[in-house]
Amino acid sequence: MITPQLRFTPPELPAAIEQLRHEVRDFIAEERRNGFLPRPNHVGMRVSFDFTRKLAKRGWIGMTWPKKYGGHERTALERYAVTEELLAAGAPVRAHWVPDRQTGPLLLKFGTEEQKLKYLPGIAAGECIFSIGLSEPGTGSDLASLSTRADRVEGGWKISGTKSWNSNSHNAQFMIALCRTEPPGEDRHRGISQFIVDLSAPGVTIRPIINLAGEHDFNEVVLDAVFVPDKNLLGELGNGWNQVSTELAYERSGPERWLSAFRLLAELTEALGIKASASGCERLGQLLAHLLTLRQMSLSIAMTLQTGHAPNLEAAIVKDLGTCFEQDLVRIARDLINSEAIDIFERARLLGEVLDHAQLWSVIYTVRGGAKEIMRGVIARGLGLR
Amino acid sequence: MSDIANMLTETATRLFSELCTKAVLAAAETGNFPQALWVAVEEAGFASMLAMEQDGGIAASAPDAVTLLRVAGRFSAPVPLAETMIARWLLSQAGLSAGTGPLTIALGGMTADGWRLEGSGKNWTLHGKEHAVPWGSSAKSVVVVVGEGTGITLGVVDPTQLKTEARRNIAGEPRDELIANVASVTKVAHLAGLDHDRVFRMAALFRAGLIVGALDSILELSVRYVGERVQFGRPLARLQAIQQQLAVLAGSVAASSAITDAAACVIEREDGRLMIAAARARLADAIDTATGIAHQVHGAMGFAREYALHLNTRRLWAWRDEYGTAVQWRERLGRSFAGIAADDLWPALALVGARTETGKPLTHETPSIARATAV
Repeated sequence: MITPQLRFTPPELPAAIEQLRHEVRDFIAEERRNGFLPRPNHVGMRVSFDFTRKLAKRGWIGMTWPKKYGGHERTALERYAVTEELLAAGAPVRAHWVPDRQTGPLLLKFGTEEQKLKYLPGIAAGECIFSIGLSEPGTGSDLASLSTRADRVEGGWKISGTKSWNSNSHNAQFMIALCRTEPPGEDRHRGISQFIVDLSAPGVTIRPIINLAGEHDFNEVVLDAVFVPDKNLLGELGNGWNQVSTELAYERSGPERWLSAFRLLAELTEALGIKASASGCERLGQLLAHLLTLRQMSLSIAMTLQTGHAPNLEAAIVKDLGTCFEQDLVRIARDLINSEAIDIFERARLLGEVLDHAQLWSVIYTVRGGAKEIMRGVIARGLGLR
Repeated sequence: MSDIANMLTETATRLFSELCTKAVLAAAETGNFPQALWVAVEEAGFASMLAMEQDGGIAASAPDAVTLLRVAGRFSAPVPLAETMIARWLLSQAGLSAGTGPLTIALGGMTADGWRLEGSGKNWTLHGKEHAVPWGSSAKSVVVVVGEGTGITLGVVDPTQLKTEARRNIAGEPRDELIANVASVTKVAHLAGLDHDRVFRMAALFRAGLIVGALDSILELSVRYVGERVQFGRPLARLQAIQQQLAVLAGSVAASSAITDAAACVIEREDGRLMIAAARARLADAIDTATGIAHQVHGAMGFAREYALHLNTRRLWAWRDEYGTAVQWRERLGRSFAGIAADDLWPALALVGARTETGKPLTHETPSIARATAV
């Protein structure tokens, strides 16, 4: 029989979660009505500091964290429900997404008391933005090959190297940089450490990397002998690899892996109309079947997270299936628009815009947050093949 | 898994692994009904599982039935277990006795347009026809289900009263054509509390259970094979190209398992019609992907009749389109949502298959959402 990790237990949700979903929907509807949140003509997330602060005021950032760090002590499932609602609405949550999703939990798990008190309340208030510092020009999927170095100096460390593909760093005050603190030995995964880098420190240069959609989301962050005090070491010296694995489980297991292009599906479904042809409905149904399946799997993972289990294998499966689904969605949507003769120049103009945007972004879905080949390697390991 | 599910899996695994031998499966394909297997299935109480206690059952839940059928599917059990379970459930609900022996069901297709029952009192006749009724001519009785508005009417028919044409699906399982020109009906009962779609989706769910079991099996066979087969001086499992393929296969199996289990939990609810549509539509894609990969990594061995892989894969290809074709299920799901306003789609989808701890049904807040979940 298959390994138990391939079983996703059907979730039973606390009734209070539904109440919370309605609160988020009402809030979004009000923002739409007031003109603060236009119906999106794009996929993915945009940056809006205003919106981020509004969410913070409602207690929807740092939801699960202890109150003494500015959190709200709600459950992982409650946070999950809020993330689903925000993603499905195409809300501009980019600014705080990474610190809420992974920096906060990372600090809570590995940070010092001083670090927690210093950074978490700001993140939960939507004021303090962190970015991820993992990839480098020479280091993509093979993360352990990183060359950014942190060398001991009096009172701290001097970090030199270049981080790249850093989303949102130009809007962030801090980055958590993964650095070599010892030359690579037999076990390449040792001697790697994480540091909290103040992006306003001398020696930091942030340069935009414009993506193929013509947008500025990525950056290259050059660290030229940047001084970082001892107190900014995150977690244990040399334990960075393990810490990053934990961080990546948060990054990979969320609903953003199958809801990032949801606006395309939503606009497509509306534009198809109730008179859609049998074959048009069939293609739509095929997409919805995949989405509903991914959601059940994702909910099941959210339940598992609640119990403290790190669902690395399950997350890899959902990320692989979810990102491939979103690429299929773009392809099928384009054909459906043509086969059903949907007028994307006038009546369904928004659909046309979302489709074009999704087409441009879709190539990165199976790359970011762990390439699908890496995910499949994780799954193969789970099957005992490697 | 629950305790009862663990126990069922254990008992069923022992029973089916022992009795579904290659020889039994091969004989079944040439028309020899596996009597010893059927007797064991009866003795274990599997076939009556859904019936009420006074009828020899335990009124088992749909998820428990799916647990059992996963095991039956894994071992390709060549008996009408799913059909008999449903037939005895219906007969028990109607207060009719079922006795022992394999039964089958004739549902007349997704839209219930295959059969007509005419008559009154004790004199009823059956009219109509259906292709591909599982074990249609070898079952002890056929339970015909006719949809009538909010209720259904059951007609119990002796297959000898019908014109039958023996047919088999590509897995060699009996899928007979039944034709009734004024066939006399042994017993008739009306069930007001069930509608045709509810019975049909139960049958579709039970196929899904068998499918997930067979998918489990081809993943297991593939993992084992690539671990043993040495090429280029090392086991195939060491080749990244093979690892990547098996990871995709495992993803398809995991997705199938997840949506089938989730659908089983809500099959009796209104949104059960959407969840089973999602499950069967998703399973069809999983079958296409998984059987392709399983055969590819097995090389020529998988094409050999001698090797066991085809026992599962031929069944998967057949089951994919039984009790509703993949095309029908996709279309039903798509039709239920097409035209919903963009901002209403997520709230509508979020209700499908959602279960709360209180067990209270979730409310529909806008007309278009109510439409999707109640069409």
